[in-house]
Amino acid sequence: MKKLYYILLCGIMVPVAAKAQQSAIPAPRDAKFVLEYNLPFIFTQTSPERLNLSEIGSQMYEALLVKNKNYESEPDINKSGIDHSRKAYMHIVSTDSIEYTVRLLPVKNMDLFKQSIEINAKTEQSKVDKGTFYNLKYRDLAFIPNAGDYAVLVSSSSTYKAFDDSARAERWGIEYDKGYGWDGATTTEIAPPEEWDTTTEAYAVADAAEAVPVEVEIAPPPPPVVSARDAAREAARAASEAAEAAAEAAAAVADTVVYTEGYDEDDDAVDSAASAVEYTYNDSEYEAYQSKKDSIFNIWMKDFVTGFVNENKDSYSRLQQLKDFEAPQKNSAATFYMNSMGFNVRDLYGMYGFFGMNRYNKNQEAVKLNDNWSMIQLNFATDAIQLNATSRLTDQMSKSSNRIYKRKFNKKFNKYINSQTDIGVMGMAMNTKNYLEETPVIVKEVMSTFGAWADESALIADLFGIVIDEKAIGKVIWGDGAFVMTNVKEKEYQSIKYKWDEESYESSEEEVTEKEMLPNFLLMFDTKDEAIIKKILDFGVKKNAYQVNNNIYVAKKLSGRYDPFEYFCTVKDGIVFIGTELQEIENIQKGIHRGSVSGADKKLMKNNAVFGWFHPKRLVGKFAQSDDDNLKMIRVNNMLNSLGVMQFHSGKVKNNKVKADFNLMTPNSRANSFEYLMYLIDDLKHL
Amino acid sequence: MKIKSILLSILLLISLLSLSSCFETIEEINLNNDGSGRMVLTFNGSQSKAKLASIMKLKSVNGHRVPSIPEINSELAQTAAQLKAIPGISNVKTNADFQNYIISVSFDFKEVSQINQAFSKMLTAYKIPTYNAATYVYNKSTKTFTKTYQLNPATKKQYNELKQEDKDVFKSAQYTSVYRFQSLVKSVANAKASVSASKKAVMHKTPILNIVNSGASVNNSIQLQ
Repeated sequence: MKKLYYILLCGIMVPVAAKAQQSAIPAPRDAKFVLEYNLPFIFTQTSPERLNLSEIGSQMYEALLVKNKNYESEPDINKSGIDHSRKAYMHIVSTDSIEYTVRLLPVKNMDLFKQSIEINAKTEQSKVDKGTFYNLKYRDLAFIPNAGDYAVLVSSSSTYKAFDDSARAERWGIEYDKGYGWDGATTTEIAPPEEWDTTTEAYAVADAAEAVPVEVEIAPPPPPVVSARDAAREAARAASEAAEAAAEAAAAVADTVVYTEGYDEDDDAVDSAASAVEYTYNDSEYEAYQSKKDSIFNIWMKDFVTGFVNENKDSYSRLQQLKDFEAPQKNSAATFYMNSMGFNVRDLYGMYGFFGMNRYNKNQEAVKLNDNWSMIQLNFATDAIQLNATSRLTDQMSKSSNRIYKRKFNKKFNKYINSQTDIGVMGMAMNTKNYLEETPVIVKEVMSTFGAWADESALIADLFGIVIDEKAIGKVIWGDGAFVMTNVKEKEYQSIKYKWDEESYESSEEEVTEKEMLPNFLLMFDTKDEAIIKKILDFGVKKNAYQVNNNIYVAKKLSGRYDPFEYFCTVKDGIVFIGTELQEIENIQKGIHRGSVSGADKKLMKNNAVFGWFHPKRLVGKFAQSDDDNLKMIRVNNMLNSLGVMQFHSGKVKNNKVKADFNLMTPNSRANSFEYLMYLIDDLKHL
Repeated sequence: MKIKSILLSILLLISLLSLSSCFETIEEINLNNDGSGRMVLTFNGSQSKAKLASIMKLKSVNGHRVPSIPEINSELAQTAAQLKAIPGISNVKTNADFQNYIISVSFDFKEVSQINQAFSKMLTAYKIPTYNAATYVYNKSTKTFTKTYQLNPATKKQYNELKQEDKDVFKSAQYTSVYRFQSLVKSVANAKASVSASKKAVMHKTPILNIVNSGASVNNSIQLQ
């Protein structure tokens, strides 16, 4: 059984094997992002013709599956050559110098597929044992196996730091400071790839300027290590020289170009001559440098692809090996994985460094990455579109998270939440005391991952723990609360218009009453220390920030700045209320309850640490009519009317995993939630 | 923190759903016979102040960063400093009223050509190509005041490339120019401009979109007696 499993596992890197292994994800374990496109499911929900008709549908198809599209006329999904009965995959692998984006595409009609990615008789190609490599536009690479039933498309990005490491640059014959054409031409040899080994085939690269194709012989497969290195070195040198020659030839051709149309020699003779001398020199050197770099990237990409096509290496682990890995659901159209293992220091600090932190860390320094991963599935149920997210946390983060959310939502809040009328609600049940106690622990855990300032952050975290009185703050803000968008109402305000005197056209200011639709909010949170809250509010009254009337505190307007909202605050039965509508706050003080919570909403509140819902339909007709744009208003209202209830919730961590779900309920009139989403996005784009 | 971001998101939603904004820009020049005078530039967003106040609570809208009040004040101070540095320009005043969302810049000039220098310097400071500036000329001998604006195709292209929601901002926006003189106005070249009852001032109101579509619509040549 174990042997059978191993055989199957070995085959999952290629979609052809994925046919027999639908749940397997053919992506390496160290991929930082992985996407699975469940084409078989998608095409049970819609047809290629209908996907073609949808703007977002066809765009997503093109962007995600066929990067180098080349349709002669309108995009036609049926002409992509892709097999819609098998899944497709994309993954991104980041090394310390380069990032590879790999698409694994199942192919039904190879001729159509080649056309769609612009492979033709002129495309530069190199045959290897298991298939053929094609050099595509924009430095992209395609690999098509001999069996011809799938294809691998690879592009490289984030190459700006590929040769920042001087040792690597030297090994590859790159002189970084020559890259911008400041100095004269350079002649350098390209050394063998740094990770070249016996399993890697040698490739010769002729990555010359497009206008001047250069043929280079492909080196033979490498038997022993030494000869493979020599073959690679020779091949790479040939490629480098060919690239330089091509660039020089291209520059020479460029020098002889004569503009005959619309060119007035008298006007620009001197200037153009001067710039021609200056730019031709720099451009050719820069082009040669880029060409050399591209040749090396091409070698790396081929090596990389060969690596996973011949993936029976012991070192090649897979996504399924992630701790507590979860496979996508059957009704998931697309599943996205993000894997902590795939990130390196450069990813964490960003291109220019996070606040300059990368100055203190070499890019090669290992990050203490953990087994954490996240997964987001786009699922289509019969009555809802669902985004289901799962994150795996470390033991410590799980423990901290469960302590933070160790609280139930106060049922008293139900008196002030109305499922029938409120536009939106967001609630949270958190333990503030535990949150403050766990914050230093979380900071230490996160900073230890970055590998920078671990001692400093640990010290700051400990000081935080000493200075903060968790228990006292935890009493003032207990940790559970709700934010309610109660309604949208018309509000009046004064604007200034200029009145022009007919005699002199001197202006005078005139106040005009304007109206605007604005939302009203009610925020409430629990407190076990009403006295201190009242003390703070009374202090505000003394300092003239509030005025108080019948236990209702009214925030005074900041002088010199208009704020369309008014803020009212009161404390009642251990709950602090802050709202924008006086009537609501007065009713709360009088003990008049506005709440009425449905059974479904009660369940959501009871079972989750964070939850919320939003009724877009309740905004229909709430926005000001504009005489000059009634059509847009109609579109907005139609869109809002077609949206079902939005709902989100997240619970506690179980088995080191925390789940968060977002649901958009589909209206009853829509039987197919996939097509509903497709057309909804199309409508939104043209709002 | 989460509550705050939810509130801001809802404000963003409201601001996006609330269709087009409404604002006006006013350009006033009081010109003396010797060619000196005072210019006042005003941005009046008070008609949309509820919307602007909501947007000011956000960090960005439609993908554009929203400047804070201190940032706007700082920019205005820099503008004032740059204007003061131009020889012949004096009495520079800036005002930002965030109660009504009215911002103004005013200055005295000794020669009309200094207005051109001022615009050029301001546009350069804000990294806007100087071809977007209008040109003002006053010929003392013929007593002719001219404003010329040549719409550059690049400006129109930039506008056309804006997202629809960004274009909507300009939909109801108005531009008003008022030129006041010590002498009586003899003739006005722009038929859309009107002359005051005293015959000492000329006003021209037009939607800003007209300028985007045809820069020449704000051109004028005013002959004084």
